[in-house]
Amino acid sequence: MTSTPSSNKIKNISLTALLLTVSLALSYLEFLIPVTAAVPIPGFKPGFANIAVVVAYFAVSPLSAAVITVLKSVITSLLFSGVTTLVFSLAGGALAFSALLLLTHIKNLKCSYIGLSVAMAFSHNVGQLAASVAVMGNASVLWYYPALVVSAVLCGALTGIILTLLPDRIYIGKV
Amino acid sequence: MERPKRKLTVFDAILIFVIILTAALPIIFTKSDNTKAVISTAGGSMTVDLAADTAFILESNGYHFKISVSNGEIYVEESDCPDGICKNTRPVGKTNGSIVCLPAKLMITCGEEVSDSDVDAVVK
Repeated sequence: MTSTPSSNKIKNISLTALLLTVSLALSYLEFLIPVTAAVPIPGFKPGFANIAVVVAYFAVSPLSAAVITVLKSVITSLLFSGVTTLVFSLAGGALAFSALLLLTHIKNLKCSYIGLSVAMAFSHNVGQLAASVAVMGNASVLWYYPALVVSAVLCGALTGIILTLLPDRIYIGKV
Repeated sequence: MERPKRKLTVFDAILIFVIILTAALPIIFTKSDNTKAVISTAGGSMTVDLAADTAFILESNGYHFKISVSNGEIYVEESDCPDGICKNTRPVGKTNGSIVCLPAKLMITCGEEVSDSDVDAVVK
């Protein structure tokens, strides 16, 4: 098939839809694993859904990754976690996406998938924490911050390893 | 757009190190030099100035406490209550917190709002 601008557009839309589905499936996986039983931090999640966002960012476009971030938050909050978590999820997603944008736009920056992933997990947690301070109107939730830092480093490293193991053809959109 | 490296880089190490360092931030932020502490007993409540070092005896619900103020911090030095939890609680003042003795209905609070209401919490 020849690659015309319109067929490219269709391919990008399909890939975005596919990766959104992947992120939803990964969110469902997170929802199934009772992680909060092992790690008693409210709102703690391994953040596997970020994998789909990073892949979309490189394989399709930053816009595609942004669309997935927002839709993933909206759909998972409707399906699994409840609408009240939407504001936390969106705040976290927005900050994680900003970290991704920032780290990939600094010239000559030597950063690995693991570093990127840790930075995203960290910003995601910071966003969520900021949202909960705003919602609760009480800064005492800040005491969760050290625990969230540790979880961001561990979970970010884990998703980073998964991203590292993905073959190159996935990142250039040949699925 | 350049894709990230597959191997860990120096930047990664610095980034992760800085992120871990920020975990200490809440400790710095909540370090608030309080100038007074509120002591509420079974009989009522009083405010203690933390600027001057003092020690005094307090009675609450039949138990006696020797409360000390030193270096801007307040703590329970001695008590005849069977629990002894208040004696083992670390001093408050430099950090916000409370020292509580349940049998004696004693509470020493720093930096947190104390309400005299009977309501524990209100869900909005």
